[in-house]
Amino acid sequence: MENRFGFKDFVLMVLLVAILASIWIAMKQFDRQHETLRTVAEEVKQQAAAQARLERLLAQIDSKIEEGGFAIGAGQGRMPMLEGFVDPKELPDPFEELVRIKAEDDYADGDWVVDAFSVNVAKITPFISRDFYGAVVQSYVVESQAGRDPHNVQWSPQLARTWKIQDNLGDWQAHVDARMAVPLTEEEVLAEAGYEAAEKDEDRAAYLAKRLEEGRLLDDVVSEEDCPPALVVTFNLRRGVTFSDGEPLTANDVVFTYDLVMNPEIDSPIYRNEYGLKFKSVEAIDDFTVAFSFKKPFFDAFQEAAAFSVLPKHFYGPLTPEQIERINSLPGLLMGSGPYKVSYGPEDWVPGKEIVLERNERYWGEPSPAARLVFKEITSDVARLTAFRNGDIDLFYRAVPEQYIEYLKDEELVARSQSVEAFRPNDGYGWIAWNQLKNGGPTPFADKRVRQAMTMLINRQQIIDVALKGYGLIPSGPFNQQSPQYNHEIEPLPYDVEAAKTLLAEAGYIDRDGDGVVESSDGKPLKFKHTIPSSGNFWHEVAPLIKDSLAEAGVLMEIDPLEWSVFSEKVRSSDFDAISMAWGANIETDIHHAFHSSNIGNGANNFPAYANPEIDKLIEKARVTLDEEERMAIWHQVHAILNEDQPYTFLYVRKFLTFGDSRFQNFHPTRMGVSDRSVWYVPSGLQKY
Amino acid sequence: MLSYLIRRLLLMIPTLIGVTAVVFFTMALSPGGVGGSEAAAGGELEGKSQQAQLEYINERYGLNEPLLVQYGRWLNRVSPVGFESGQAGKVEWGSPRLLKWPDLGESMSKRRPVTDLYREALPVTLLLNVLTSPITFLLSIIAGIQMARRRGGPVDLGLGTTFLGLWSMPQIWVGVLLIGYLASNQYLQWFPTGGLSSTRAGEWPFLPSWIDGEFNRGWLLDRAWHLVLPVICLAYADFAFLSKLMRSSVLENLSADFVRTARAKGLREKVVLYQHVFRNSLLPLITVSAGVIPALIGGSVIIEQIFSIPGMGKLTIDGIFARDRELVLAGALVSGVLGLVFILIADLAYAVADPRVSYE
Repeated sequence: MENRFGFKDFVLMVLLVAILASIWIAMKQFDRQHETLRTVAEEVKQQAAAQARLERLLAQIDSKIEEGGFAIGAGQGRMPMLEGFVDPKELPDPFEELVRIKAEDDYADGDWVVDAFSVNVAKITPFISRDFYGAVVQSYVVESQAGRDPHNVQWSPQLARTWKIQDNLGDWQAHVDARMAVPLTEEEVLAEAGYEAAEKDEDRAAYLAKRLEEGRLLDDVVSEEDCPPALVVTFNLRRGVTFSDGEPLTANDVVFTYDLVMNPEIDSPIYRNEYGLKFKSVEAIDDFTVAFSFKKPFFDAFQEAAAFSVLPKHFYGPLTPEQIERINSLPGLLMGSGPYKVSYGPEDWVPGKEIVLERNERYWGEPSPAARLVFKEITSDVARLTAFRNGDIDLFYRAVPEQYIEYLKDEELVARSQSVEAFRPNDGYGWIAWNQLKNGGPTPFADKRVRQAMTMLINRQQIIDVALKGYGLIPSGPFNQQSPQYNHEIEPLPYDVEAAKTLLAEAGYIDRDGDGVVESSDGKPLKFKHTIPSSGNFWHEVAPLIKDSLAEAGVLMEIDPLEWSVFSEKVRSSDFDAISMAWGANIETDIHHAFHSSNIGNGANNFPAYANPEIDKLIEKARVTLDEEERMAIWHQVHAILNEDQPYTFLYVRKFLTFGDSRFQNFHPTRMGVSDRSVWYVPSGLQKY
Repeated sequence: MLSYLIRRLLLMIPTLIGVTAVVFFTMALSPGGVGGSEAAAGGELEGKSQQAQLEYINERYGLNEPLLVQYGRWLNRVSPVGFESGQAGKVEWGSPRLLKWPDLGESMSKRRPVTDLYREALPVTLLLNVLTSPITFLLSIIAGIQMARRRGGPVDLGLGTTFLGLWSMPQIWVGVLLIGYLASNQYLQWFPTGGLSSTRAGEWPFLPSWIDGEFNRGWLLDRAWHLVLPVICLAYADFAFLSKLMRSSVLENLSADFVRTARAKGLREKVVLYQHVFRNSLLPLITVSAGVIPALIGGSVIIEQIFSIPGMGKLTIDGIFARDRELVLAGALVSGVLGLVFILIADLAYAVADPRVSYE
């Protein structure tokens, strides 16, 4: 057949060209529409901002009227409802810093802050997400009644205008005492959920016997319906607060959020248990007053109530089975009243996309300078530092010491960036726990002297110098040095090999056969396994240092790195000799979970089986002491005893290391590390986005 | 042929049950168990809360049932023929279904339906691999032919050594070097460090264009620019194997009788090479590509980690580390099905390509 370009080929060619051209034109058209949409969106945003300004103004006038600033009609005074509340004028202004920087000469609105997470965030839905990074994102979108001021760590009002704390301890104690005096009957036990849950008859009988012996429990009494609350924290909410879609925020939204978390179908068992143990109820007294009642007088009651995030009822509710399924399974259901909102829309973020927050133009408070907060995900450490170097990201939050050192080495990079090094009150500590009870019998570590000797044999300064490049501190107890809980009179046990040897000898561990290893009186060498998580480098660097320094006193240690699932299984079942991990901390940390003897066994957190009745009593007392000064004195006592007992060797507290682009102004150290990105601004000449 | 096909399809069922059973029981019986790290995720909790958390997980995923029951429930859920599934996959014996959508369940660590996770990760991985494999195949074929034509010459030796050299370099090292040298402003900042799009690309037009007199590369070009380094990193190592395969196949054909005949009847060397030898030499490559396609969907953990690309490889590895039963089982099932189907297709393709093969 001849190979000629015929008529048929010509038609085909024309058709092909026509199709390609129309695709091209369609794309062009699409781009034009895109352009129009952008203009429209921009205009809508400006209008929303203008409206929000008006609303803010109205709200200010409204609260002025309420406080009796203006005399209207027959001249009412203050509203009677505010009785007993803290005077709003005495509370700090949450926007003081923003107002101050907006008065600066070089202040300008706009620009973005681009940050990068080192992991993939799976969910950002509040209460459902368990990620630390999810919580970072939520903190800009969702607000609570009050927040901590980063400069002085005091509570400053957010959604609440003011609050009051009612102490109902007299009634509560009387009721509890009366109820506790009534013996527990068999019928009551038969009605308990634990009894019904037991399937076999002998389990049921065992449960009945156990419960009858225990008697009535305080936790059960305080959960009974007619038991009065021990404490009531009441918030008076601001008028004129709206969610990012313009719907007003009222006390009903607070109550709804509580109902949502407490709904057993919602996938938030951790919050549900915490709140279930503490809250008796959350009730709306009127549209703008909400009361949190507590089952027991907890020292952190105000914190629990104040930091309780408020979600919009109209968006997350009503809690039908379909809606619950949506809340549980959608990754990014996030809407709130905060200064920023998810730019894709409140339900459209999916994992893998970078998280982009844009300024909520309807925000009730003082708007933040940055137009957008972007959170990328860069999983490779090398790529993250390179991205910072290239200016693709603006912030390197909580760098590890190796990264920080590498950053400091690059002079050109240091010149165009700024950094903060600080010890923060909310940074946790790393430790080794010495198991005192294994396979039902006491271990060598059941002897306090052995534990003390272990701590004195470990050169903690060396660990900090090698593994943390010097960016760390040696703690003497479970509290943070920056927190008022820390007892500064207690010095960490010194690194002292000789003293440790003496202690070991006192405990009966002497080198009996001259092989350089200490033995107990029955000839067993002091030998144990140190279980560490196998992921990451940190513990792999630390463990050999410990092994070497222990060997100096004739103690044999074997390093036992385990993959995380196996590691946590060992922890839960207390199947280890010594184990290393780190705990987090709060400004005031409750250490009940780790050191109270009721948390031994059953997978609870006191896995080294440390039991000291004195510590138990003190922790219980501190938890219900509402007076701060009195409570701190108790924590200081706890601290001293823990230092003496050494249930853990408290290894290190890390320094907070962060660096960011130098175009940000108002980037300065605070008590909480570095000033928040919501108060940074970029002078107009330096703006990048 | 039809009866052979049905027989092969039916044989897949016990094979798949075997594959998933091995995965299921290995996971369940290994230290730490299923969902172990999930139960520990709570961290600093009171004993009671921790207990409640554990019970919640056990109930939600049915982990306190005997292992055989758990496996049976999972099988029922993924099987297209079976019964309705209730809470925690409980089999509702009362409501049999003849045909239903296989339900891959909910991932424990990400707490979302596995299908949703796949829907997000699969397009990313496919995009990377669909771009990479034509490049590797095309370059390897060309190189293979040239190496065979100039057997023993400098081209053959040079390309052979280069490809072997490339093949011996680990991706994890090359990837970091590529970022360090080609994406850093200390050296050449030609490419981005990672991800699939620039931060602002969402606002850009689709096509490259001029906005206010300034060039804007547009979403499409931006995506292509982000894909350059990952694609290079994925592609370079495969050249060695494929080009050697092509080379030996061409050489074998060049010494065949029909080539001698073709040359004897005076055909030009180009015609001999490209019309006679080339087509015949492609056959082994087709066999290889049948095995490659399931691997395309598996994704590459290393590339995804280095370039921050959320694909299938990372998803599966995360699942394994978190002891995420549903995710790992779904991975085993999907790759099992794909592997078996493509082996079957390859077998059928032999029969089509080679008249001597018959399955009657």
